[in-house]
Amino acid sequence: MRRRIIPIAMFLLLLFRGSWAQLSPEGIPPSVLTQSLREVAGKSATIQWETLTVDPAARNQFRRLLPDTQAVYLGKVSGERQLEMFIATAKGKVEYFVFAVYFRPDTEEIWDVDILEYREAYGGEIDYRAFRRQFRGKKQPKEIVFRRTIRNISGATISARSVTKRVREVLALYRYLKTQQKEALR
Amino acid sequence: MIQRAYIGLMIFVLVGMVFADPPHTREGSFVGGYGEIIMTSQNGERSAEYRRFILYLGYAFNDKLAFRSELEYEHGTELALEQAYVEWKFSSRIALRSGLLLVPTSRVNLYHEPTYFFPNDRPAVDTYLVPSTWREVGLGLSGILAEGLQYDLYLIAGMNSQEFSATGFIRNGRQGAGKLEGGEEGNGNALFTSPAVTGRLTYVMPLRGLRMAASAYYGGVDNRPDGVKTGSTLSILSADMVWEYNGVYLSGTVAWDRLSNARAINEANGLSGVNGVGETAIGGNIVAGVNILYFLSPESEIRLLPYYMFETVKLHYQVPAGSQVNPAANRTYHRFGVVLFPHDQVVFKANYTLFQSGATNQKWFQLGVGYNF
Repeated sequence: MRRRIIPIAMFLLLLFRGSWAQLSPEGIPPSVLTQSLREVAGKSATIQWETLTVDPAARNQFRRLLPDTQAVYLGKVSGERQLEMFIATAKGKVEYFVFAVYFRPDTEEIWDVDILEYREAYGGEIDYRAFRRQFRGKKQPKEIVFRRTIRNISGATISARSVTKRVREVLALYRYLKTQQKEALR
Repeated sequence: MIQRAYIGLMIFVLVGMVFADPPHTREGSFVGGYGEIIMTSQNGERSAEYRRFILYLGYAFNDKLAFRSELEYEHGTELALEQAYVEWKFSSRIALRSGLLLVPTSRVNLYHEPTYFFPNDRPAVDTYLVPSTWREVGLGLSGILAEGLQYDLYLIAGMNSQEFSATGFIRNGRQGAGKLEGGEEGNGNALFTSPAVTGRLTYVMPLRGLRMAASAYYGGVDNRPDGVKTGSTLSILSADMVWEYNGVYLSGTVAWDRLSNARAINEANGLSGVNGVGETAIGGNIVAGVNILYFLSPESEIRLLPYYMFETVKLHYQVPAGSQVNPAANRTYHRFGVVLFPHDQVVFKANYTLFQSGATNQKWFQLGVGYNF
């Protein structure tokens, strides 16, 4: 009996572990960031970080993304394209990976999703351009639905599903920030 | 002994979980696992077992260097390392792996969690022709050659032909390095007198839902504790594919195994007649299913797939001189089943299997649940 209780308890404990969060700009090596900026926004792209603050109610709404802070780090990208970016981690099969979501500030839609670091032995296919491009132009979180508007990758289902769900939540946070900015200007 | 080791392991992992690094750091430990519980009904007898309880433990030293391991507790009697290796990832194109590695010779051997195959039992092709979970000590390279094209290339310890048999073929020839107790494989210590090379090339079309791969293996089989040199080699060629598109699921595997000088193995093992190991073995399977909720409930993330799986393995497709074809070595399986995925990482399975060989016809019904996290 003891043999069965321990695995079941462990399984439940593991299920309820946190699995992802925003990553501060210091958490990513500059070389990795530079490579991503060049690929997405052009060779001359530079970035400046802006720290925004969300109110406690919003932090509660996005608590999985902001588990221990009300600060949101939004990168302002200047280059061939003017973009904004947000970095977060998500979980693959076992290990975490780091991804960035790039937005077009003029239309408030997703421009690209870039996988900055992926260590795990399987599931790295989510960095394929064909998969990432599925997110382009998405403006509302409800437009991002795994296996419907975002196609799965056979053999990389867990990572594909994970990044899809996280990008959807990042988009929701981005839209909240934009609404907050517009209201502040009124 | 095994119970104490198991409980000790659980405590170790629980402590590791408590002190595991929070998810927003990129360095530190990580924990995962999978398991399957299966109930089988055959000939009026019902049995149930927690077939596999497996834990992944790993540690990332930095963004390029990581240790990964998989510790399995199977059938209530076996405790073994399923893989344990250090990976040094230079770039997405090339990573060096060294340690106890999964042999990259079939999809199911690499992705052997219950959420990756539909029947409760692993396919027969991936049991006998590519004896999953097959792992050996070695080193190798892995990476992405170009978008969509991946490779694995390993140098590993070969097999132990002393344990080859007519109806199990090469299955018990896995050396079982890292085994702690129980199991079919050797004694936990692997010989490296006969090495093997193996590789796999995978092509993925993300937007078409297609993944297909070809694998090859070639190596000596004289890692025999009795020291006999048969001079035999084992060659395996296999190909597999899976296609998931708009609710339709199709997958398949074919494999061809050849033992050179199988007669010498039979002589060394004292096997003759129908008990001799085959010279050539072939097998294949095909699975076709439809996610009916894709059509009935478009918003649902739950998947419900009725499926049919046909599978055949012929372990005595060709036998060496001095041996005769054993009817029990050539088998066909018809599996009718349904799988319910409430989440991509949790599956409930039900399947009815009709099994035929030249020696016997059997049928059984199975219910199971599997998870992977």
